[in-house]
Amino acid sequence: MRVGHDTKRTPATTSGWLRRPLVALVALATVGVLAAGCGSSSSGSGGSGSGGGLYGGSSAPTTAPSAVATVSATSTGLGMILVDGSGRTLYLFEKDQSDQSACAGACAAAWPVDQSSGIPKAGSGVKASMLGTIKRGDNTTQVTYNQHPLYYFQGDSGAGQQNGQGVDAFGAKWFVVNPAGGAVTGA
Amino acid sequence: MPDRDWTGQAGAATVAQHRAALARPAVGSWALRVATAAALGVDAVVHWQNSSAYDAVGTTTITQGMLFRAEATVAVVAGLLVLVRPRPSSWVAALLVAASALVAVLLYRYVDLGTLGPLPDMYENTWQVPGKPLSAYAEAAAVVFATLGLLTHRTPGWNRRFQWAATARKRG
Repeated sequence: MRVGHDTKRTPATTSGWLRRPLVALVALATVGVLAAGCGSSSSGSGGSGSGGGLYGGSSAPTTAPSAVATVSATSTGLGMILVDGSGRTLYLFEKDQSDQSACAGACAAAWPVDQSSGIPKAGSGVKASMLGTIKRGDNTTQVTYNQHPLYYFQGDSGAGQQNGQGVDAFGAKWFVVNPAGGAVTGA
Repeated sequence: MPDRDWTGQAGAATVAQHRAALARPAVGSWALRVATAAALGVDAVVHWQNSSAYDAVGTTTITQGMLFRAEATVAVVAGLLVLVRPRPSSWVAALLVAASALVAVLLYRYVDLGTLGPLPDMYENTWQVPGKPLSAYAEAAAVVFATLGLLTHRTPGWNRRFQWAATARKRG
């Protein structure tokens, strides 16, 4: 048997001022603003996306947006793969279509695009005829190879790493690219 | 009131302790509510900010982006409920929202479930997504906070009983 709770309730035991909806809303708004502040470095549509803060990552790609990119091929454990002028690994996204990127916003923050201010230079081992560029939604220019838009991976901290190989993210897989312009699907 | 006489037997010190205990949770409850709402707020912001990048991931019924926006919305609602109306049902709502999000992010990080009925294939074997680790930590924190909030929640009736006991004691 329940011991007599009166039907008439006393005020709750919680502190009075927070029971006011206005104060509570202000508190939540403050929390929201703080959280948004942490994440304000999110790149927008088609972002160039080096990221930081909440979208953190200390490994921003080295290609400056105003520079002409270089793409070369180098020998790795995965075979010959495409890298940029400083040896950073370049990836393709399976969801992309020919000369069309399907990666923007948070995706481009995790997978920064390989930008170039003009037609990229062909380094050793790559076919210059396969190199090209596309214009993205944010007016930046992205390097393509065999019509695949090229990206870095935020999880690679420098040259010689391929931590993004085979990663499944944003709805499809990411692979390094061979000099023939195809995905290297082996582990 | 014979059914309440047992509380009247308590010594003055015991009643004072109970009253002090009742006073303490006012601050504890306040902090817990704000902390829970903050954690849910972080979860909501991350999901909302990332949702557009997942609009292309989906089935004919629903996209992952839509699910992210739904998660952000219910997280905000649960956070508001905990702040404005800290009842057991609000704590349960916060707990369910945070726990389901945490289970989902961990499950889809490590297990490739493919599509599940109308649910899209949300497998993503990396933490290298903006805000994803932070969101997971916030969800875990919200689970802990909401559980504590639920366990330490005091119903108004308790307060009345102890107040009555103190009065009865004064009456001798």
